[in-house]
Amino acid sequence: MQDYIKRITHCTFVCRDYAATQHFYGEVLGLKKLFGIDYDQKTIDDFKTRGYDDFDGKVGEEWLSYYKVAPREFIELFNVPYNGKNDTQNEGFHHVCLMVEDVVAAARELEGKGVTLWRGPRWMNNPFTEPFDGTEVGQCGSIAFYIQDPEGNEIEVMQYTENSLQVLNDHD
Amino acid sequence: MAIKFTGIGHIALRCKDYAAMEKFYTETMGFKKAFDLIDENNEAWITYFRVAPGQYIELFPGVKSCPNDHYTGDNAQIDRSHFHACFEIDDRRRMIADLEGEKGLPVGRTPDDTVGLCRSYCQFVHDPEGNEWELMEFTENSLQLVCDDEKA
Repeated sequence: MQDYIKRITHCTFVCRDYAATQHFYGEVLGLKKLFGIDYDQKTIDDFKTRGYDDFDGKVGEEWLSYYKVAPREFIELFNVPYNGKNDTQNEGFHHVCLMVEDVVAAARELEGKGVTLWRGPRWMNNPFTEPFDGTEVGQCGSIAFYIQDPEGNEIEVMQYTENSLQVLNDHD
Repeated sequence: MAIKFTGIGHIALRCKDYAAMEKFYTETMGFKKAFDLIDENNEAWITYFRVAPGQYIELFPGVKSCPNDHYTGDNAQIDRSHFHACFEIDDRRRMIADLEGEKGLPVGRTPDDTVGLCRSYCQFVHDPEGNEWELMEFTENSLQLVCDDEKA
C-alpha cells in the first residue's frame, strides 16, 4: 500500500438527532468524548451551500464531536441533519466495525443497557433472543454481533480469534 | 465494566460497479487484497483489502444470495448519515503528488494549505461510487492528539 497511509482514523456520521447519537456513542458504548468544535461562520456557510435543507447551525453551537475508540481512531459526529431518510439498505455505506478485547463482555454490558444484539444487520431480522455467548463464529473466523445507532447506522462489534482470516491474512 | 474497544476493524461498502471499486482500492489507494468470503453459490460475498494491521476495507460485490448487499440508490452524501471515513496520512504533499499528480485523482484541499479547526491538515477524495474519504495529516497541535492523554 501507499506508505503515506497509516490507518483508518475515523468514521463520520451526520446526525438528525445529535444529542441522542452523542448519548449512544458516549454513554451506551461508553466512548470518551475527546473534544467538540463549535461552528464558525465559514463552516455554516459551507453547509448551507451544500444544500442541507434543515441545517440551522449557529456560531457558538457545537458543530462536531470526537469519540475515541482507540488512540488515533475515532467516531466523529456532526450536528448536521441530512436531507433524506438514511436508507441504510440502499446506499454505499454498509457498516463500520469496532473491535473489542472481549466480545462477550461487550455483549453483557450492552444487554444490561437494554440494547438488542443482532446476528447481522437489522434488515436480516435475526436478533439474539438469548444472552450472547460468543459460540457462533463467522465464516471469517471472528466473533461478532451487530447493533444500530439512533440514526440507524449499522455497527458490527467484533473480536478476532487465532483463526480469524483478518489475523491469518494480515501481512504485507 | 466499560467495554474495552481496541480500534476500528473495517469500513464496509456496497458496490454497484465492483470492478471499478476494486481497482480504486487496490491500484489507486494501493491496498492489498487479503482474502474473500465465499457464499453458498461459490460467489465472492465480501472481499477484504488491508489498510493497516488488523484493519480492512470490506467491499460487497453484491451477490444474489444477499439482496441487501447491493444497492440501486444514488448514494447522495446529503441524504445519508454516513458522511465519510478518514485515513491518517503522514505526508500530504507526497499523497497529493501520488494520487493527483501520478494517478489523476482530484484531491480536495484548502487553497492555502492551512489546517482545519481541529488543527490537522484535511484533504478529500472520492471513490467511484461517490463515497468520500478524508485524508488527514495530524500536527503536534491536532486536537485528535492533544486531547487524548493516552498516546499511540
